[in-house]
Amino acid sequence: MFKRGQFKIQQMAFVLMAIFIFFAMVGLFLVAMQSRGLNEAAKDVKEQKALKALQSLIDSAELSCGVGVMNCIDADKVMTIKNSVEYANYWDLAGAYVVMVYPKFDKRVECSLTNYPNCNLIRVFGQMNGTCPGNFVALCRKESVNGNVYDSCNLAKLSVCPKEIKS
Amino acid sequence: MVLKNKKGLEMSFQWIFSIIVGISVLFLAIYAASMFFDLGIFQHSTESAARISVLLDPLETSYDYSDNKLSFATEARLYNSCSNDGYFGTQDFQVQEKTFGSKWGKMSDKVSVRNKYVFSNSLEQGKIFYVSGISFSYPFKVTDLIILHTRPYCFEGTDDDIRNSLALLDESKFNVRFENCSNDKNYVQVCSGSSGCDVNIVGDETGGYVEKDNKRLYYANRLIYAAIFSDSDVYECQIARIAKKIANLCKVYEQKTEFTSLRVSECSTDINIKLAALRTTALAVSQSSDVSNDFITELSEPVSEVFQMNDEMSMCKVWEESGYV
Repeated sequence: MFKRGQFKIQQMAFVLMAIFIFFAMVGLFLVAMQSRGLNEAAKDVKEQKALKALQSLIDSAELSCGVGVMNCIDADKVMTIKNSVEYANYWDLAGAYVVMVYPKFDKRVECSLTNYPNCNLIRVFGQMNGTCPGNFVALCRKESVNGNVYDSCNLAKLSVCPKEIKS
Repeated sequence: MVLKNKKGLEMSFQWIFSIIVGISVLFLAIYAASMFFDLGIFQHSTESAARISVLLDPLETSYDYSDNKLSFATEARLYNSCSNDGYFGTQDFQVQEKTFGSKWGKMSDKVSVRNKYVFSNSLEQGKIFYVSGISFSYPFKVTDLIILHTRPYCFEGTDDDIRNSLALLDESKFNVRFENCSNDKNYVQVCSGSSGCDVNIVGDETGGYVEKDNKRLYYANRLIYAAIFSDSDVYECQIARIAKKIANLCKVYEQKTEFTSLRVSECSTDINIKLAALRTTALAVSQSSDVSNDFITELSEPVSEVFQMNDEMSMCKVWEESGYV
């Protein structure tokens, strides 16, 4: 009689453990599904953000050549922003850079205060990692010949790198 | 009557044990399910807040337009707040959406951005949010004022000058009316020069103040749009952020001028002195207690000086612009 009671308690303990394991597995499955959905949504938002931020950056007061001048960025302004502490985290992006496309250089020379404008890559801010969508722009600056000031423009590509998702 | 059976209800240990554990298991399962449901709503709301921030990016352009709508499947609340800390301050959004049984779901996490200036009431509620991007220059292009609202606005009582200055508001797309709406209680009534309306404009298209909820919001040029559609807390905070942005842009233009003049001696100029003066004043205004009033009174002179000097520079203009609006 005593042994039968023990056996029944043991049996119930096993059933309870099975119920717990079942609920835990269902819970884990739901959490996994939700986190997968969350990651996909975050990735989608990140991609959209990069594309939309690109045009917004080209037209921003900080980079654009002026109001109503389409797809044109001011090289002197870009160099200023590059060296600015204030603008390092202003845009919600991991980084942005400008590469001169035409005239073509033999190799990439990153711009600094000493070699500008004889260079073809300006790291505007942040890092240049990951997939960075870009758009072709006119990169313009003032130049002069024999006392005549004119706008010197080159074909360049502005690329923005979205922030990585922390998981 | 004598109770013969004195044993009462007999329950074995197994039964008591299984009832207690069964209740615990059921309670835990229900609790986990409700937590999971809340988490789902929180995730959805946070995602919505993040998407709003992304959807407002195209408004950061050089062009004005007012045909954007943010639509939600259910009624939603958008909480707009801002902070003036750091180099630019932050624009913060939070979203809350209605769930089953018309109950408000869990509030989303805060989504903060530094490069946007959204003018609205602190709390906007509805299924459709009307959004408009209006370029603001003072004296150079500063930013795009993003105007957001849900309630319809009526400008029937405004005079012609004010109406002309509000020409960027498209009646059909931005949920505003300029006539035949005086009897509709749903509309936010906007008048000029008279009292008794929800919003009263005192001034003209160049400057003045907007009176609402017994508070005065001072404006210049296109800030009139921002003053009409936002409450005082949001407006004053965003104006302080805009003052900070003007200061930062002054610094950019000062350094740009140095860059250019090193290379092009013909472009040497004294505009940097004026830009530095504007930068110092703008920074002081951003910290003042009466921001919008000081913004108009303190900045107007240095702004017009800098504008005039740039205008006279022909080929060496520091920024290209037809005028400040």
